[in-house]
Amino acid sequence: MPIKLDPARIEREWREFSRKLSRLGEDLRRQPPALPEVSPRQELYRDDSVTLYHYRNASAPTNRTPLLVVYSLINRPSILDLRPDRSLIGALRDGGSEVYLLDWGYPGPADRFVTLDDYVNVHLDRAVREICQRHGCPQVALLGVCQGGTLALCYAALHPQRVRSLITLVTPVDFDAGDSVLRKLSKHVDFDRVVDASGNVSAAALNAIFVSLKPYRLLSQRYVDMLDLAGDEAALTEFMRMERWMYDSPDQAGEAFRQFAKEFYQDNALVRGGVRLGDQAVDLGRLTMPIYNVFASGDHLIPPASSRALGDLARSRDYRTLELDSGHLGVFISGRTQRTLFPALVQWLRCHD
Amino acid sequence: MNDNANSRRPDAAFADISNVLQQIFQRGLGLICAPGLLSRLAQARDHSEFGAALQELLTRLRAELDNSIQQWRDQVARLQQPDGFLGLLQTQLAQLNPAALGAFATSGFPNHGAALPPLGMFQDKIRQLEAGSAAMLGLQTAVDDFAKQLRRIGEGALAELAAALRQDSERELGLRDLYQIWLVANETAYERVLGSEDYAASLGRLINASAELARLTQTAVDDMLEALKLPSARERTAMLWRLHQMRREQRMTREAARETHSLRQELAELRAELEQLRRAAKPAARRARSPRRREAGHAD
Repeated sequence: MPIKLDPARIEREWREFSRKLSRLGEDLRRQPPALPEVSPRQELYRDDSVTLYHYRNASAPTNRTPLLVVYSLINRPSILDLRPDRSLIGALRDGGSEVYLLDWGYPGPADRFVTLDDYVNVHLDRAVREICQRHGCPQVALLGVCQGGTLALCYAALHPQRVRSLITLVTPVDFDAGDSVLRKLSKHVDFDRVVDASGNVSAAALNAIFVSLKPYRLLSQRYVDMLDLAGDEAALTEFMRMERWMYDSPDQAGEAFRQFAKEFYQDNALVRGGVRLGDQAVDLGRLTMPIYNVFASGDHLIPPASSRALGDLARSRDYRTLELDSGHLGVFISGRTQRTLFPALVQWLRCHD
Repeated sequence: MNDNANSRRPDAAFADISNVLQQIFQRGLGLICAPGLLSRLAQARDHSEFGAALQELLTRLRAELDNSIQQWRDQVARLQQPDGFLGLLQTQLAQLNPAALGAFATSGFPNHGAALPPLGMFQDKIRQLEAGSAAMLGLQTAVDDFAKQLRRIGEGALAELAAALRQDSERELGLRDLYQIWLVANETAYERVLGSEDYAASLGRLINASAELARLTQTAVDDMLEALKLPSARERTAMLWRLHQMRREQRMTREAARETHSLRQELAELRAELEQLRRAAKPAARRARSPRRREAGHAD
């Protein structure tokens, strides 16, 4: 017959399921409500919702050029520093860099009119100048992550004299390249109407869109699998860190979101030309500094082809790529991926100091 | 849960699509794991009995799918009830119609009022209400349209499930296996639809229609608040815009002050440097002048 069922096994599974569920409930109640970033850091300044952090080095940094990490506006940068043995920030700091992080924070209603020009030419520029002043140097190394990489590219193209070297990590560049579901879904949305109606775009709405890319895995299987963590406190803590990070999403400043969605996603203007920040056009041809472009072969959010396109647009003579065998999140949480990624970044920064 | 205040909100239909999909998935899972249906499948003695049991399972699953989709559509339909959003709009529209036409209508004349453009002292209000009414209908159309996508996904998942259940003949399945089969069936069907142009267009229409209705509702609420001399979202937005401009100006001022400060510092340093150079130059000049004077003395 086509299917055979094992009633004894099913009954056993039900009993096991109930037992694990009840154990999991107890374990979860013992979990702390919030977990801080693991690497010690100091707040240098706060400007509206944006904060510049400096990570303290245990020993003197060996690289002369300070490194500024620019994360995406969509999620929180805590993913870069979730636990000591999986911390990108920690690896870069221990690898000899003086590490700074520009945290975009949680835009509130008063940030509704903040534009990409404000983010790049005001906030990012201020952070770079602040760091240069602290170190008495003319340039920084920039590391942009995901959408933060796109912002870093814009900054580096507009202010190339301030960027000694540039790393883009899982960064969208050509929004038409690859089979991007996000690009496909965004094509028919009237973002003017959405932003006019909502002002800031709520984190809940964006989360719904991201979850809808993998609804069964994220809303069902993830929690069914969680049952197997009952009794394993360390694994459960890890799970909860990710769980909190996944839904710890800021609202998006309305005007910046409108511009990013329309110009980058719908018009692919970063590649076709036409992105203007303030009164300047963003021309990726002005990128002549050394570039290290890292992407993931199984990335369902940023297809590798989208990141890879940077190679044809930048005029850097020192352009290198690293393709990781992982998905988008794997870059930040998979130990296997990080064993390749972290040393590669440290080595590249050392060579381009 | 969805039946009360939330379902009367005009943007209630902008329901989280993932939740609708999730609901369909969970209800289906409940049915698949229901002991009666499971045991009938497992106890089938021949292909005909198995086929009948599978058919029954699929019929029950399809009914659940219909039910879930209908519930979602009902949320929007509720907005049309007399105490719902569209109901209130229609009541207001009727009250704002020019009285003269209303009188004719009640005297047995055919009512052509609906075909006329907005007239009278409330014409702006009528236009606004008509736009709201059109947006509501637009949302309903978008929901009906998107429901077809949900059905495509659901039907695809049922087909995948049936194929998987027919295939798995070698080993005895447990609960977790059944869960996995249902998960993969849904995922496969969903990803096929998610990647299609139809789905993207349909989702776009749903989001746009929800946004339009939310925008018009906000305008109506703002009008009401302003009539009552209460703060409105419109005023708040205008204030936020001014605040944003002020913050920009403040930053520019701060930047200018910083630049002035650094220029002053640079100037002070240059002055100090110049002073040092002057001081260094004076003795040298004196030394240079002295021999000449001496030479001049000799000449005297």
